[in-house]
Amino acid sequence: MRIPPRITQALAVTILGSATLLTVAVLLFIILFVLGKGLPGVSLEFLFSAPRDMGREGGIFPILVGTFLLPLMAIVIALPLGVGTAIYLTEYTRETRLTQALRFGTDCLAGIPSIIFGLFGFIFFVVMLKMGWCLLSGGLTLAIMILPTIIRTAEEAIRAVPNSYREVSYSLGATRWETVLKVVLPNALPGIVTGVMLSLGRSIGETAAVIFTAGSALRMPASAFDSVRTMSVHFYILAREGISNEKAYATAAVLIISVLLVNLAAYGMMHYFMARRAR
Amino acid sequence: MTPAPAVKISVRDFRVFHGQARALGGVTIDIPARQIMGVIGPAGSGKTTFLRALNRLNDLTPDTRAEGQVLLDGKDIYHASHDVVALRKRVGMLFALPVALPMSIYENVVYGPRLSGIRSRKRLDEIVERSLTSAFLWDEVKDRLAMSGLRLSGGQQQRLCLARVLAMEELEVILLDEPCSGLDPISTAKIEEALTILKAKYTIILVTNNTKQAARVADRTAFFLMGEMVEEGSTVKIFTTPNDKRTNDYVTGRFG
Amino acid sequence: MKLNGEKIIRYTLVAVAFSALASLLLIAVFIMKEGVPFMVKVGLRDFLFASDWDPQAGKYGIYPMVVASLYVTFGAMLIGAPLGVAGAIFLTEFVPRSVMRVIKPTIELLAGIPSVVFGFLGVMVLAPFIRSTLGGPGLSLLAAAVILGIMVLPTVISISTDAISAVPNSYREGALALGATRWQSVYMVILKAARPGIMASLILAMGRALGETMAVIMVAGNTVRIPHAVTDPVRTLTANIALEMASATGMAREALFATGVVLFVVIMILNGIALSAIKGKVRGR
Repeated sequence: MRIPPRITQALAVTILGSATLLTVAVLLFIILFVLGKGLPGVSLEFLFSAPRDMGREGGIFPILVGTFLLPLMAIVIALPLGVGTAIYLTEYTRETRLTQALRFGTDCLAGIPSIIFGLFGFIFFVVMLKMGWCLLSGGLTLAIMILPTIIRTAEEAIRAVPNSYREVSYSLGATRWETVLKVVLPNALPGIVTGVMLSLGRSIGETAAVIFTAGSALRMPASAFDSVRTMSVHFYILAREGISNEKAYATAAVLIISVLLVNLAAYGMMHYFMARRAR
Repeated sequence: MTPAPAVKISVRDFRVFHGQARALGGVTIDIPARQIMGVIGPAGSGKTTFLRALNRLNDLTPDTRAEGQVLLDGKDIYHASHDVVALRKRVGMLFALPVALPMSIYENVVYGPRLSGIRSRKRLDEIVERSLTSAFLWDEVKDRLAMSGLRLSGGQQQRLCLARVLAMEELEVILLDEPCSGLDPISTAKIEEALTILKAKYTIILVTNNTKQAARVADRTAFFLMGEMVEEGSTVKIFTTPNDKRTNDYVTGRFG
Repeated sequence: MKLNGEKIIRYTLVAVAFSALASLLLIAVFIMKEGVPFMVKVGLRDFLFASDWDPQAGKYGIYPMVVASLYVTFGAMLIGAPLGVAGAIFLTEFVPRSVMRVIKPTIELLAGIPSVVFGFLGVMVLAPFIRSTLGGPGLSLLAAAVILGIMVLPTVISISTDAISAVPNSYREGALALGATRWQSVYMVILKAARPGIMASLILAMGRALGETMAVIMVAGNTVRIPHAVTDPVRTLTANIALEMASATGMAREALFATGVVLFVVIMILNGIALSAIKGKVRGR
C-alpha cells in the first residue's frame, strides 16, 4: 500500500517539528533552570563583595575583575597582531600558495580544543618560562587561542571593502598605508569589532585553558603576575568540590548573562553597522 | 600663424602587458597642454589601459608590465625613481562608475588636500567651495556638506568626484574614463560644460565610447582599435577626413 | 619622504605577521616536540593500545581513554546529528523566514553557554536520573554522551541551516513544479544538494565533542576502565590530560603531550576534511 505523499509530508513535518521543539526546549530549559536557581542569589552585594570561606559566603567581585581583565589582556595582545597580520596578507602581498597555506593553517588551528591550549600554556608559560599561574600566562594563552579567529574575521572584513574605494584613494595620490588607514580600515571596522566581541564571548566562558594558566586565586590581582580566578573557573570549583550549590548557581547565572550580553552586543553591532552602511 | 601648443604628455612607443598577453601596442602620441584630447574606440580597444597608464594606476593590477616612455613635462613617469604618489596628485582621474567614498561630501573633497598636509580649516573650506563650484555642484550641496556622499544621485556623485580631483592644488592633468556612461543627458551636459571651461587651466584626456561626445567636446581625438592606436589628429579631421579606413568606419557607425 | 615611511610600515607589518604566525606555529611545534619523542620511545602499541595507565609504575596505556573518547563522541553524534539536522531542515524549509531569523540567532546565542554549566546540569539533573532509572553510578558514558550531544546541537543546526539555505531556489521551484510536496522536494533534491555542508557541520561537531573537557570531567565518572555498558563511568582523553596535568612529571608529562598530539592530529584532520568539503561545494557548484 502506498502512503500518499501528503501524509508522508505531514508525518515528516511532525517529526521534524518535534525535534526542533525538543532542541529549543532543552536549550531554553538549561538557561531558565540555571537563571531560576541562580538569580535569587545574585544581589549587588554578591557582585561587589569578596568571597569568604573559599566561596561559601560572600560575593564574587575579585572574580568579576579577573573575568574582565583576562580576556581584555588577550585582546590587547591578539588584536594588533591579528589585524596587522590580516592587513599584511590582504594589502601587502599577493595571493600565493604560501598565503593560502597560512590561511588553511589558521583555520585548522581555530578548531583545536581548549584543553590543549591549557596544556601548552601550563608547560610553556607557567613552568618553562617560570611565570607561574598568573594573569600574564592566562592572557598570553587566551591570546593565542583567539588569534586565528581575529585574523580570519579581520581578513574577511578587509576583503569586503570594495576595490573601487582603494582605486579612488590611490588615484588621489595616497600611499598604500594611507589608503589602508583612511579608507580600508574604517570600512572594515564593523567586521573586525564583531570578531573581537565573539572572541570575547568565547573567552569569558573558557575554563580549561584558563584554570591551568591563570590559576585560581581568590584575591584581587595586584599585578599581571598575580593569579586570578574567572567566573567559569570559580563555578567549576564550587560545583566540583561541592562547596556551595547556591553560590555556584548564582555565579553561573551571572556568567550566562555576561556571555549572552556580549554575544547580543556583537550581533547588535553587526546590524547597526550594516544598517548604517545602507544609509 | 599661431605657435604650436606646448606638449604636456609625450608618449613614445608605449606598450602594456597583462602577464603574457599584450594589452596595448606601441603607442606614440603627443598630447598638447590645455586642450581636450578625446580617446575613442570600441570596447576592449585598450583605451582604458592607455588612460590608466598615464597616472600609473596600472601598477595596481597584478602581473602588469609597461615598456616604453611616458613623458610628463619632459620627465619619464615610468622611470624607476619617479615619485608615483606625487604623480597622481598632478594627474587626477575620474572613473566610469562614480565612486563617492563613504564619507561626507566635505570629507570626500578634502581627502586629497589632507593627504598633502593641508590642515587649516579655513583653507580647506576655501578648497571645498572652489572645487564644488568648478564642478557645477556647489549650489546643490552647499547646505548639506556633512551629508554622506553616497546619498547623492549618480550625476551629482560624478560631479563630486570631479570636485574631488579639482581640489588637488597640484593638479595639471585630468583623466576621464567614460565619465558619463551611466548618466542622464542633463548631468552629461553639465560635465561637458565643466570640461570646456576647465581646459583653460588643465590638460584633459577624455576616454569615451560615445563618438558624438568626442565630436562635441574634444579638440583633438585619438582612435584606438584592438590595443593599437590607429590614428590621431584634430577632431574635425578625424570625423570628416580621417586617414585610415577603419577610423572612417568607426566614426560613421559602420561598426562599434 | 613619504615613501620612506611606507617602507618602515611595510617592514613593521611583516614583523607583526611573522610574530603572529610564529606564535601559532609555536604551539603546534611545541606539542609535537614534547609528545612525538615519547610516542617513539614507548611505541604506539604500548601507548595507544595498552590498557594499563599507571604513570607511577611507568605504564602509559591510554587505550581505555581512546575507547571512551570514541564512544562518547559517537554517542553524542547519535543524539546531536539527527536532532540537529532535523531542526535545520525544519527551520529552513517548513517555517516562515521571519521566524527562522529569530530562532537561529537564539540557538546560536545559546551556543555561548559555557561548557561547565552544561556539565553542572549534567551532574545535578541527568546523572541522578540515569542512576535511578538505569542503575550504576549515574556519572557515566551515557551522561557524557547526552550532555555532549546537547552541546553540539547549536553547531550542527547553525551550519546545516546555512548549507540548506544556500541551496538555490531554482532547485526547490523545479521540484515543486513537478508536483512534489515540500517534504519530497527536501529529501529528493535539497538534502542531496546541501549534503556537503551538512556533512561538514557534523564533522566539525564531532571535532568539538572530541575536544570537550570540562563538561565531560563533571559527568563521565573518570574511571580508567574500558566500558562494558553505557552506565559505566569512563575517562576520555581530554579528561585524562586535565586530571593528570598538575601532578604529572617527566615521562608522565610527555605522555600527556603525546595524548595532545593524538587529539591535535585527529581534530586537524577532521576540520581539514570539513573545511575542504565546504570549499569544494562553494567552488564546484
